[in-house]
Amino acid sequence: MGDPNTATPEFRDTPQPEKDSPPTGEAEAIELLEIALRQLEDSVFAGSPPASPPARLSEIGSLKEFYSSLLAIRQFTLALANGDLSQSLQVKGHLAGALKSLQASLRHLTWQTQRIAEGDFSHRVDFMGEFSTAFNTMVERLQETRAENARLIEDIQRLAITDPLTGLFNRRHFFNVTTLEFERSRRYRNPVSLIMMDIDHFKHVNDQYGHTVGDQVLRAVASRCRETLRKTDVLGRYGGEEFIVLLPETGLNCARLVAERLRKCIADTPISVSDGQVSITVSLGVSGYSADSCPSEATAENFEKYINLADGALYRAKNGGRNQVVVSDPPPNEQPCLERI
Amino acid sequence: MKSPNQYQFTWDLLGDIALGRPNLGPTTRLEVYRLMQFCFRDVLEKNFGAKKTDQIFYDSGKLAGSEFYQHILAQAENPNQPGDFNELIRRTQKALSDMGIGILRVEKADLAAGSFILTVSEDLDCSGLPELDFEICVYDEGFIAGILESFTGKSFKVKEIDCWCTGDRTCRFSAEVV
Repeated sequence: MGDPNTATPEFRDTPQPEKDSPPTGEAEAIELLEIALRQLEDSVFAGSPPASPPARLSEIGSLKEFYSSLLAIRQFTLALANGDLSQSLQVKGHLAGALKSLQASLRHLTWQTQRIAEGDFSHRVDFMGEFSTAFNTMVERLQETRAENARLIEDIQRLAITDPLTGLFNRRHFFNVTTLEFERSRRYRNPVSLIMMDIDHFKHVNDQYGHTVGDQVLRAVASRCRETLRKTDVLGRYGGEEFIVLLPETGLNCARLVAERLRKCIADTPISVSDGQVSITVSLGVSGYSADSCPSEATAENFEKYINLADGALYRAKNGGRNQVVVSDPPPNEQPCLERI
Repeated sequence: MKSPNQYQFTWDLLGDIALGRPNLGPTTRLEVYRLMQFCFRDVLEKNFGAKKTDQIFYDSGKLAGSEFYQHILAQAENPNQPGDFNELIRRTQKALSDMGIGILRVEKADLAAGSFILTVSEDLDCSGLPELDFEICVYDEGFIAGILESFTGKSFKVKEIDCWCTGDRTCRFSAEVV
């Protein structure tokens, strides 16, 4: 606001002009000021501002510099508004600083988003007001959803390969795993054996105690087998009350001992069920091959041949009175089992 | 062997603060830190000139950054993510924030090229200072270089691009492998 006491001496000394008609010098100054203001206004508001002040004002160095700064700020602001974070602004000062601060925040947000896209959900935004809350909620939800999806995928994968009742490999996955093992054994000419195991008179268990108890018995048998076998042995539920075991690097003599151990651990201790205890036995058939009998190819057919041999032995065990181990014809020159006793 | 310096820095020189300040604790007013820093700066400049003073501050910051990495950041390293840059940033952000040093953010991190742009807001040295015509956070430049060098094992040149003292609201640093 104008204060007559602080008027510029330059104007105080000039002759008083008539009303509405400023003195020449003052009129020129006002005119120049108006031009300058319009120019500065254009630099901020106009669609296409001129690149520099008009020639008449070009002698005023500070105006030229200020105009240039405003244009730079304008350009930087427009770039920001268009999402272009790559621009740099050489202008110093509070306004330029605030814009650069916004740019820095947006660049950091970009970097954080890239890290989140890589799976690092620890990032949170704390500098963008309401947006921060929304963004952080989104990241938390994303993290929860991703964790939930991972759990679901894990469940699906587990369900796809295991028998839901016993938790053992299902028949399909057992074949997938053991075919590879079979191939490995063939390649390195290591022995490998198979055990087929069937619960004796399981139908009687179901008939006498009900299917719930029957399921408990199946789970208990699976559990005892798992505890008895090595971690490297592959155990699966073949179907119904039938189980199958692949023993890598195990010859027939050893496999027979393993089968015998399985038979004993089931026959010797009754199984605790909800209604009391159930005593059961199992019959087992064993087959296998050594380097001497190694097939030329690890085909499913060749593998099936050994399953059939074990199945045949199991059949003989059943016919021989159950609760026993029968070994298919052993290959010649089989070494006595030492390593698994 | 006796050190050639009377006060060669070791972390032990920071002392047992819990023992020594049972009532006042480990924090103090920021003005005191700035009072010491800018008085140092004043006297050093008078004695050695601005350029040499900058170098002293940069080197001191670098030593501090290296010690800070060794005694604070490396201690907090997640054993499951050794050598993970993002994890380093997370640890550094937390440490700087917990200790009231500043708010660290990353604008760009090209690990392969060894090129980074970092910002530090509300920092110890300059936030709220009067506007000057030059960047002032030379100590911080060295501090960042010390951390990056300790983490990567490579030499870095850190330069402040924007500073509160030149009218910016956050201090921006470029760091390049040399």
